[in-house]
Amino acid sequence: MKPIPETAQAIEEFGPFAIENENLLAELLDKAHRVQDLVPQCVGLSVASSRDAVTFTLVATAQEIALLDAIRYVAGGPCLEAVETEQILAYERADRFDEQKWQLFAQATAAASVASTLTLPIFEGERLFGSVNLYASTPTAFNGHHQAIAHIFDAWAAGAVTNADLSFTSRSIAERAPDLLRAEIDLTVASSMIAHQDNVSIDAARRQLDEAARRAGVTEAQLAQTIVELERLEDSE
Amino acid sequence: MHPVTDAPVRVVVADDSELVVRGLQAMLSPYAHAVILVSPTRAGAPAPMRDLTLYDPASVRRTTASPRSDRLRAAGRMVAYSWDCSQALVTTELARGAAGFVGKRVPAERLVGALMRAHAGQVAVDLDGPEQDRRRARNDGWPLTKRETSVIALIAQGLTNAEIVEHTQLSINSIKSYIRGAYRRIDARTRPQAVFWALSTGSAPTLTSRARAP
Repeated sequence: MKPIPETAQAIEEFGPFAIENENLLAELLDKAHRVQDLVPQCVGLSVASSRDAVTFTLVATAQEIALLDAIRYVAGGPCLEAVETEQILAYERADRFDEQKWQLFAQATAAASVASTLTLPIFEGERLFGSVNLYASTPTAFNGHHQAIAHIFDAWAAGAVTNADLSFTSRSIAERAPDLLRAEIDLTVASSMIAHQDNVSIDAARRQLDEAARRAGVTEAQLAQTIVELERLEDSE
Repeated sequence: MHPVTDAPVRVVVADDSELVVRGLQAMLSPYAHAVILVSPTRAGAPAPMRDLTLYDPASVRRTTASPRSDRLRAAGRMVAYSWDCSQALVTTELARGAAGFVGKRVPAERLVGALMRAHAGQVAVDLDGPEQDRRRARNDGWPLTKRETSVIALIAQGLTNAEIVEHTQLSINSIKSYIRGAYRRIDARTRPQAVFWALSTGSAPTLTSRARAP
């Protein structure tokens, strides 16, 4: 597996993070390889850190996916069977709580190769620290492995949820990580500047920023970025 | 006991009054084996050889257009020397690259010790008068090393790690190492927390200069 470009960029530009020990990328890759040793069909994982407010995603390489597809082709499978029998895999709304049919529905729109997912919460003491979402190319890949996978991530096996993200939305969230991290820094800097300038609390400054952004018809992040850039320009003169 | 050096540390006092300069000469004369005060430059004369420059931040702001003026940049390692020992000023000057900060109430022996530590490459901070606990004459009061302070100050200006690398010419791994060290010392877990700490304590020069503008 390897990180998606945005995860690599986020780690490089804005690390270190609360969720890491010494080297986040190395730690994520190590965990990913240990998961793949247990579940060879694992094609991706996302770790969401509540404290850092960011999601990191690793995905199988093209070669790994090709290999899995080849194995699946040789062994047969629902998609191959559907093609051979010209069967339409349909989802009925009344059955939305049927887990098997959830899988079929999601397959119509899922990211390539995802047939099952496993979500585990990560706690630090009694506080939710984050979560890990794992994605596999076969429907039963994670069966019997919840405890072992939870151990790899120091997660809570009893809190496992299956097939909650068959459309791999965590990847979409991870793709926004660099922008979100930049925006959060700009917001903190801009709010602190306003707080000092107007002698108000950070919370009050943040509300001022939000109000000003709404009046101007821009986002809070855009306004904060502009304030920080203006400050940099002034300082460089 | 002061660290032993081969030759006395040569110190120039920048932009301060005759009262301060003559006072310093009197204070430091018993320690001439360790520290000597070099006469400041007369107009038109070449700059004297010096190891450190002692400067008052308030005098610098009155006489220079920018704290980062060419004249000060040419002064080598700088140690701030001030009556104002507020945390905001201390952090600001250290973030701007000062090798140390010494309060003007500090007795002669401790001033000499601080100058020698600064000359040896340590961050020398000694703020208190003789009536305070002597243990605070070490750097215990300031949580960060000089490099950590600089890196956190750059983070507080919104720079990414790559931009900090460009600014400092350090490696990305070194930058992250300094950030981790700083986070541990200031009890920050995230970048926004470090940014907020730096801005609250005045470690970001731009914010401080704006806040202090008349």
